[in-house]
Amino acid sequence: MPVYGIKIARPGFNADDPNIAGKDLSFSSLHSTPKLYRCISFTAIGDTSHGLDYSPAFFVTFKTTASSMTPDPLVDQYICTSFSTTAGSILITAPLIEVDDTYVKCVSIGDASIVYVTLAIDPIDE
Amino acid sequence: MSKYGIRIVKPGINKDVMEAEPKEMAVSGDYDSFKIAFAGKLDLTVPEHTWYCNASYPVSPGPNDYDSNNTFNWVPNYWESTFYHGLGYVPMYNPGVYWDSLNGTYAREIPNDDDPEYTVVNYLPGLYQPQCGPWGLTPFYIFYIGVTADSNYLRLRAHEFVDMTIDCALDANDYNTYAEVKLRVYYTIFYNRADEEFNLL
Repeated sequence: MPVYGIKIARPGFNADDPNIAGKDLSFSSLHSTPKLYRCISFTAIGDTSHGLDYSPAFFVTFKTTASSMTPDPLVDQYICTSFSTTAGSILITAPLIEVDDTYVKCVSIGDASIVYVTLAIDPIDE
Repeated sequence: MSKYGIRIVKPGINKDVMEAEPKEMAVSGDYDSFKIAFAGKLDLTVPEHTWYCNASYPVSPGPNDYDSNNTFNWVPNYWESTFYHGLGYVPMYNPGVYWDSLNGTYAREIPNDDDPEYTVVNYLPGLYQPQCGPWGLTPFYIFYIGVTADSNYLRLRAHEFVDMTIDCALDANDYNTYAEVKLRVYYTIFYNRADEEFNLL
């Protein structure tokens, strides 16, 4: 069966070059692209069905609340991370997000006023 | 209205694109993808500065006086460097950082061949910060670094936290000087909005 795909080089590079590196392509169907299908928000501990029958890869962005510090270098800022949590800063406790085959779970809200979880349709374990 | 788009299955998936599962596709126009808006570097210099126990010693104290009325003291202002992305919404970006030397590993120094003058925030928690001390030792010092975003800016911030209570009790004229630190973060900002729900299923 013939193989078809799409390859687009970055400006200044030639997509016809058989030795062109992946980093020099702005797009290549030879490499998988994270496919983002949903964004869910949490303002408290809870869970939401994500609609798949496997655990999806996810990205977390949370908005910080005020800390007890003055001046506060973090209040009302957004922190975007690919981790479920990186709790442990003296300034802030991050939310803890988990996924399983059915749910996205906000296990703890930490010092976040709102948490956005962007889900990819790509499995987290493949 | 007709619907057009692109679907390409992953190598090794021997299925028609119209029958393949979403997770079997290398590319699918049915879903969103990461689109890079900006990529670059942001630098921040925290200048050498001194905290004094005594406002009259050894020189005019300036803004970094140790205030013995407080157990913990933050400098009056944090240092900040910003990149204006101007998107008007909070974008997804990388790296998100909120690091402090209390919980970081501060016993080694990450070399940076690109420009040794700078400490690259992307490599945290390998930042070397002299004079950090754990609880119970003095001066107690925490160095905080954050990379955050809002609807118009990406921000690289440094802040510090000092407690000289024991030092100043032992010597009312004590002071502590902290060396200049140059920070650099290599960032990627995506067009993808981080602060809005959607569902493409």
